[in-house]
Amino acid sequence: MALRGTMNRKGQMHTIEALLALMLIIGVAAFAAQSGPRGMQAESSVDTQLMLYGEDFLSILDIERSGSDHTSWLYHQVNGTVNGSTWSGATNITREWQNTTLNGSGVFCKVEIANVTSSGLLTIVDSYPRYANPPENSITVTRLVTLVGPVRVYEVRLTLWYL
Amino acid sequence: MDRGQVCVDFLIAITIIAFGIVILISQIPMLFAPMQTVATDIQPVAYRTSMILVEDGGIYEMGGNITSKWEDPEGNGWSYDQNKNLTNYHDNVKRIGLAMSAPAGFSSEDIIPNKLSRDKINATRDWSNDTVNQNKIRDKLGLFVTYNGIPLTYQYNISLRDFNDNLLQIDSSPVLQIGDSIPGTDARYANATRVTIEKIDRIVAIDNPTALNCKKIGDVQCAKLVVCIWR
Repeated sequence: MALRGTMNRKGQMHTIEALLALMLIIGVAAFAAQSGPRGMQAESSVDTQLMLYGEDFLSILDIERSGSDHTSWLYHQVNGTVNGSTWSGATNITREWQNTTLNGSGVFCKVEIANVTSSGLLTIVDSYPRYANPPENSITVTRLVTLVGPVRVYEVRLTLWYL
Repeated sequence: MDRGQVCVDFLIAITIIAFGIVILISQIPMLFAPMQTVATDIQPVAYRTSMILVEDGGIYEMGGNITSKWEDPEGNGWSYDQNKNLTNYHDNVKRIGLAMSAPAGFSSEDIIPNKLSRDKINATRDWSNDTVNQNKIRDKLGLFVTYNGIPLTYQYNISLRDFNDNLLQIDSSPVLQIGDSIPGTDARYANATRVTIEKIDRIVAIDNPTALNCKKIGDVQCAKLVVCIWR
């Protein structure tokens, strides 16, 4: 081993051992960095907050209207988009998002309305802003809206991100 | 000095290994997270508290029956100051939630998530102003727990704000601002620079928002419920 009371003429081997040890450590570090949790806890906090903003917003839009037909503001936006010729529910939902003034805090959104087909495919029928390209770290929350007569299921997709 | 090179070699080896260890630690930011049981659990507690308040109406239990109408369990139209004199009222309130109870025709536990009841907001505020019983609110929100035999007390500050972050007011007093003073905003805590505070904003609709500075979203008047938790 490295230190003994007698003279050691193979001292250079210790450096090679150290290099081997370093390679081992870096290997372990690389493995751990790939497989372990990545990023700081603050990131998960930010993600949670974005997710809550989105879920709260869609939940509020989907609160049942007073009356007897059990529909919501969100229902009528989807219904207008699907059955109206010039109605854009995605644009109207985005306008409601502006009322939260969260844009001023750097939270931006993209709204899409997608048709859920019986085969499980999603077809976007309306979106706003049409050409917005959310970054990779954006959060998407969804809410299903069921139209009746005939029964059709649509998904309102709200993608949020910090700029 | 025949053995001198051994010491230098050893020094170099130790230095290289020390660098390796530093790189290892810096590569794994959460390496010591399992040992930080106190600091890392604040975010889930803040999340849970916000969920209890916004997506739950609370529980009042008496004689095996439960209802979410803890703010007026007997349906007398009473305020907190009248209800607090009911037998075992504070014990019967198992959990405080602010979500509005569902209208007649639904089960007594059913609520409308994200739509806060003005009566529950007022009852929570009045309870907080009741100096004899205000410390019980912490229990009802799950902010006093025992973990491995060790009592954990979480500090909290809960308020209703408009979208410009100003407190919602009525008659020049806050509609809802309960709990402890947030460190850094109070002169008593001016030196408390190392407190980690978890803040969660919830967008909420408010039932009967007359005279409040709310904003209309969809069909309803809305504001923010701000939950701050620290230890």
